[in-house]
Amino acid sequence: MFSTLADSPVRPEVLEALAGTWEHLARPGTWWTGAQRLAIAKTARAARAHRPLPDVELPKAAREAVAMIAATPSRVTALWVSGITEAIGEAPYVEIIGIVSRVVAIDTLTRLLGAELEPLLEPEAGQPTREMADPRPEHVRTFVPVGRVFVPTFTLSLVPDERATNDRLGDALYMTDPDMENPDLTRGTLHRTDIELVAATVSYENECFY
Amino acid sequence: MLSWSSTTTRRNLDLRAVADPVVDPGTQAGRQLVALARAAVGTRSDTTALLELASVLGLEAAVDAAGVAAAFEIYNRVIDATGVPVGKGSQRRNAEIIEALGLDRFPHAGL
Repeated sequence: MFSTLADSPVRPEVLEALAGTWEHLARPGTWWTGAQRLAIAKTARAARAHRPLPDVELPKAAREAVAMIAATPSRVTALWVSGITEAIGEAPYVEIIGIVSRVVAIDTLTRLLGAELEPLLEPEAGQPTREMADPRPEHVRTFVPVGRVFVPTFTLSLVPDERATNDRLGDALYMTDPDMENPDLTRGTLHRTDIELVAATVSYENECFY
Repeated sequence: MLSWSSTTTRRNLDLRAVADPVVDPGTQAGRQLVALARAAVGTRSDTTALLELASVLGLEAAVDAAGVAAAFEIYNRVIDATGVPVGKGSQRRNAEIIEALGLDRFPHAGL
């Protein structure tokens, strides 16, 4: 898996996180089956690349959510989310956010490194776990319940497995919580200010106010 | 985070470079880092930005920077799709940056 990145000096922990994310994608999730999760991934890829959406078996609202989050996340509004979650439910919507964000991120990395996009795996059989967050995060000001701490790691709290999977990939690609405290962090020749310059520019280009 | 890191470590970074391609960030490889970040948000499969950054900081650092760009494709989406607001205190503290970069025109500025 991810053998096309073998020619680049990708850190082992990043390669491990990429492979883990890809395997996780094909497994039954919390609210969607493995086949549905791969359909979400396929749709996200097409939407992010501004290609026609594939004909996959997903509810219409789910397809709409995937396309919006993949291509124009800053255009998401409270009203739009309430329409989507009325149709598919809040937790399934949160699972879509997790899947789409990771697929877009991994495709972005492989594209920047000049590699071929990683082929999606075959879906694993089985039913979604329907695991509920316990305790359920509070619904305060946000479009879906995320609790009272407004930082990225808590955004997917409604679906614990999605939160954990996003955290693992984010920690490998960006930095861990302890590293976050260090304004003078260096990774090889890359300084923390360099890292944050990239982060801020991506956020600006995505029109992300946060 | 950018302002905090650059100020705390006394690296004289021009924050306007985030929004304006003409402005030089003023740090070693600053222009190349910004170019890589912009390429990340595009759709082209092209290693030009990566290799230009690698020529200044080395390939390992360039690949790590690409990973950071990828990570923010995650963070931007989870924040915007769940409607997480920026606290009023944080907005007050960063008012100068918000104004200088014109961030208050972004769709979620009013959350």
